[in-house]
Amino acid sequence: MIEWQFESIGALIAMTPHGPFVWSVYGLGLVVLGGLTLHFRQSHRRAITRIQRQFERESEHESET
Amino acid sequence: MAWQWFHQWGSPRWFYERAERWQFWAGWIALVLLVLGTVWGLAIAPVDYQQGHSYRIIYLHVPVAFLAQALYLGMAVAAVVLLVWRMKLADIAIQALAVVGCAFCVLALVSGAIWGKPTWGTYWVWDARLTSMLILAFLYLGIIGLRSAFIDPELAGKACAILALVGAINLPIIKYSVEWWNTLHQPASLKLTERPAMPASMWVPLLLNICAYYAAAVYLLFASMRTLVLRRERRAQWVQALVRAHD
Repeated sequence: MIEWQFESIGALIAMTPHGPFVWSVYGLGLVVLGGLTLHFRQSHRRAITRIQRQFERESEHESET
Repeated sequence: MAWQWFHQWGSPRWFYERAERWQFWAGWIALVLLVLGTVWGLAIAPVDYQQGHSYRIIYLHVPVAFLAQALYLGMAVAAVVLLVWRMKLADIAIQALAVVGCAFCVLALVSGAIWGKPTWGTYWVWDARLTSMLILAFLYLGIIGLRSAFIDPELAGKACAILALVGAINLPIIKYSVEWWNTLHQPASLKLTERPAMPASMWVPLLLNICAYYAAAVYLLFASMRTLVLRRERRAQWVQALVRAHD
């Protein structure tokens, strides 16, 4: 049976007296996991753009010669 | 025929084409399990009679600490594959595992330090478990730094593989540190060979979170490896075709 351990959202946030410890850990976890996800997505996009530009430069160079 | 599956991993193209699908599913599994596991751990699991609510840090700390070690083990296996079979993908795996493993290791150290304050009264002690985990973080950082110290990528790969293998000696030290030395750190929360000391209402969400963070690590590894494959194979025809199709 699911039984909520807190009477209100306020009590969940406070987790008296350990709220700051618990929430700072989960906040940090979110920052690390979210940060890595965004970083890898951006670097994948950047890699594709860089390769596209490289091909464009190479094809321009070939047409000039 | 039996080795065909192994040789397929030698083809970056084969990996890249499949990893997108694996990454997609790992990402969704991770997201669903992370939401379920975190809500269960934070709001539904019963409070600990000794540690109070601070014990809820276990639902993040234990999975990331497990992963910091498991990813290093994965890196050591990839190092053997690279040194013996010279598989390109093994070198790429070492690169990705070092970054993701380092992030999990730092998260394990910091979450452990924050948990230490209400439990032990201090953020840090030079305890055997904590110190060996700190050494693991330095090994990860060393492998990341070592790669950028070489101009020749092949030489860099070999050097990183050797350091990864040498550093693997630290893994049994981390595992048995709580048995070999008198430490503040508690013994393993979950063991394959014994019933957990915690009630099911506490260890079931822990198991769920371990699965969630493993799925998240798989997602992050594939995301990183796909980019590294693209960069390394940028001159290959299949990459050219792929990039053109992306326009």
